[in-house]
Amino acid sequence: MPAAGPDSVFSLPAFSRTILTNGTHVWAAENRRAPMVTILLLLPVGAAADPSDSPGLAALTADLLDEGSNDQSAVQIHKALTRIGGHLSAEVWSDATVLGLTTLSRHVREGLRLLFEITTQPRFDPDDVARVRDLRLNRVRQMRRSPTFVADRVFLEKLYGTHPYGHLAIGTETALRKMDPAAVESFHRHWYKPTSWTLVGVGDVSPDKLLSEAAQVWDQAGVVASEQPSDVSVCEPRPIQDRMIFVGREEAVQSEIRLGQLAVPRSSPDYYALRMLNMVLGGQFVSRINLNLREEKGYTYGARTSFDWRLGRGPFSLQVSVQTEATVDSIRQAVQELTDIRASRPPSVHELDLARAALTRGYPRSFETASQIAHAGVQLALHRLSDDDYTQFVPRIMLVDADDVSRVAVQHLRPDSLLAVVVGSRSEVFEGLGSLGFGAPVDVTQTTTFSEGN
Amino acid sequence: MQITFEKQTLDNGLDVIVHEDSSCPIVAVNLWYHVGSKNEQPGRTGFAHLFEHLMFEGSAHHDSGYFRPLQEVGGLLNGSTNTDRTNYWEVVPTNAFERVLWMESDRMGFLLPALTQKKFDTQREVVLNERRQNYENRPYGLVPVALMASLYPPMHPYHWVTIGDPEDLRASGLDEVKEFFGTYYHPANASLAIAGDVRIKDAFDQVLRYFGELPAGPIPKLPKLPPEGAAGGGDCRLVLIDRVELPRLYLSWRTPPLFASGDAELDLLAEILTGGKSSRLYQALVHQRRLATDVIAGQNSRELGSNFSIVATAAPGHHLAELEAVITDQLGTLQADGPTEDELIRSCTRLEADFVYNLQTVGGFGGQSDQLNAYNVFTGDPGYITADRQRYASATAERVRTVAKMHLGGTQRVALSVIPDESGPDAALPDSVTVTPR
Repeated sequence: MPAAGPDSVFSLPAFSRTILTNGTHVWAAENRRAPMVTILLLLPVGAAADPSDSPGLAALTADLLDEGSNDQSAVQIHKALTRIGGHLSAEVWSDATVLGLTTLSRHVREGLRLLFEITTQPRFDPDDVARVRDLRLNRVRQMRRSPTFVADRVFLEKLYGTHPYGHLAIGTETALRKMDPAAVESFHRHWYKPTSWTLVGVGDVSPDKLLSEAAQVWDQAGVVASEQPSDVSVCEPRPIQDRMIFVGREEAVQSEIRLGQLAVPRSSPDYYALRMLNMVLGGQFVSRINLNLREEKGYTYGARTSFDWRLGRGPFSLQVSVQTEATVDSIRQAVQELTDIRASRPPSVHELDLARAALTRGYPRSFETASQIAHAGVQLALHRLSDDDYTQFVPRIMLVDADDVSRVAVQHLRPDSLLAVVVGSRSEVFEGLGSLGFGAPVDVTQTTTFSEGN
Repeated sequence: MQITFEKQTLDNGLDVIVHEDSSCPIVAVNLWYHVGSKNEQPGRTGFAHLFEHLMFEGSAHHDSGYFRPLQEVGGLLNGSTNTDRTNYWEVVPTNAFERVLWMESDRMGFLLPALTQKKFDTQREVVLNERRQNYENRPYGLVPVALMASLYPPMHPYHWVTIGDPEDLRASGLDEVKEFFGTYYHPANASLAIAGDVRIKDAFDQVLRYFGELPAGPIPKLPKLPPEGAAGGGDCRLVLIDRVELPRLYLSWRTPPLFASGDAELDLLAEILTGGKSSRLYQALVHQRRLATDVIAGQNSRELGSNFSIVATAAPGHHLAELEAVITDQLGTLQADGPTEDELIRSCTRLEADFVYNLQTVGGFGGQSDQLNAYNVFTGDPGYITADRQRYASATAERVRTVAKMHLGGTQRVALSVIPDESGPDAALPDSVTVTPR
């Protein structure tokens, strides 16, 4: 088998930057692969800024931005969008809202203008608020029947409790029902401020042109002092009491499983060592958990682990759906893997080489397209990383050695205090869950899926 | 937009297509075998996809997992099977290009010696779990099984879904794998596209080195389509009871194949109907009257014949018959009056933007190398992109109207109601026959 040749030198396209008089940061980079431009607006306010009795408000607000502005109705906005071949997106994460507009490069000015109008002048008409709220309500309702959604939601709720990270961005049915135009207006007025946001444009346009077009369109509205969302790193979630949580899904042919715990923020000095650990454990096809549960045992279509890198302490979780009769053994195997990697079977030289190679040699692939580069810019801005963070990634990974990975495994993985969430068939699975060392399983079915209040 | 390339065909029939782009130090390799679930027989459905899984379990000169040597060099890889073809792709740093060719040629030429009963049994279990995860254990998951079975008669190659029937999968055996391999997995039935940081001449030389010696097999014929009676009209109404919160309606028609006359017009029609919030059905169903929580239309283009579908979920308190009435009414208006010029231009622009967006990348599903192979396998010309774009640029409102009338009015329509287990049968469209896909 041919060896790979020497690695090529890689450098990320540089961002040109400017700050507008109203405080907006604008970044631009060039990518000529296709005649299009991706524009992303980062607002560092997300689901964690939802008022404690209003989970889902940040996402509802973002979803309402294109439903009519001061000047145009929703239909007019969307016709204008389709005329430029534009696609609008709104993602709400725990720490941020990212609005996006991708368009053919010949329409970049109109794209910038539309995005500005949508972001800064939404109408929030009562009929539109009611309609979009109901659409989201119905989506949450439908997701009661999705084992994946239920597992994710229950996992966050149990892991975080009342901490701002304890809910999915879409929120809950109870909260959504109460949301009204006043709540949305208030959220928008409070958080959508030019001094908070960063506009990132990447594509088939010169950076200078992109910066000057952005300045012409976006340098409006007075400078207003902006408040920061409450510091999610300060409040710590309470320790968990019940560690084995069960949600019934009658006659389910598979169990949806989440095993996890709190991890560390993106800013942690252990970030690079933990990226290596995750690769070995469950971060790609050739990883311990996937080779075990899928390739060896055939229990599943795929198993993975991930660290969710947030401003505060994000979750670490193992995620897998397995055939029902393999539920108990799968959890046992998973816990064993998490135990062994920090004790009896630390990562081998070969495993570390493979993890390192995946992270370093595969790196340029992540910066091929305009969309990828724009999203990379958003990450730099959100986490306030230094300009050379991406260029430094590979050298920093190369500095991580076996001792570092072992140390962070011992320090950050705690198999004895994992939280487990299982969504599956009660008659076939529930009793066996008590034999896994998590304590007595707690059945939360009634309060989770069928209650009107959720 | 253009994807420049050069094409050669080796003596053993392997088509090789190369596109140079050194703006990023990566190479995409994409290999299509012209076999899919259409080549299966009833009783052995799911086989082409199961076979795809086996291709990752080792070959004679590398008798262990396919992923490791490629993840070792920083590669990303995957494969997929559909009704018409099976594709395998890798995206690697420039310096690992040769390794990919080695790996792909080894499994093309020498898969069988590494195949064992244990690998076969394990991957069958994996596939059964894939089916459970993606079809059996999710809301509306089994709809494709019921829909395809009612759109196409039992002997039609599209009657069954690619994931197959669990009983068929359990009944299949290792020796059948060998026959399948010999029939479909050889150079004359394959197309190899390479895009990225390569030099064209060097790429052809390397491919010849690794693939040139592999023997050709007979080129399989396209499966024969069963005789079907004169196309009747009418509604085939079905109801599926499922663990869902809201009822959903699936309307489907059989339509012209990929690239055939009418295919592009139907793409445009789907965009006019549900593309974005200013579209006709979104406005009528979701925005104005709030009868539905969502609606999506699509021309699902395939080699032997496509299907056009409109799918809408009822908002609480509303009946599927209300949705059906609005959809039929809107379709009728388009069939009588056609779209406006503005709608046509906007839809064309949207589709152009989607197309450009997908072709940003050299690799993966739908990237440049995958698209080159699609053009080559389905039309014989990797440069079909120009003709492809022209189909849309030259579409007229009148053509969209007549195509809509010809293919979505008067021909048979399948109307599948999916209703919650708690609701009574009245939640479906009237006169619906119960189906129970497993």
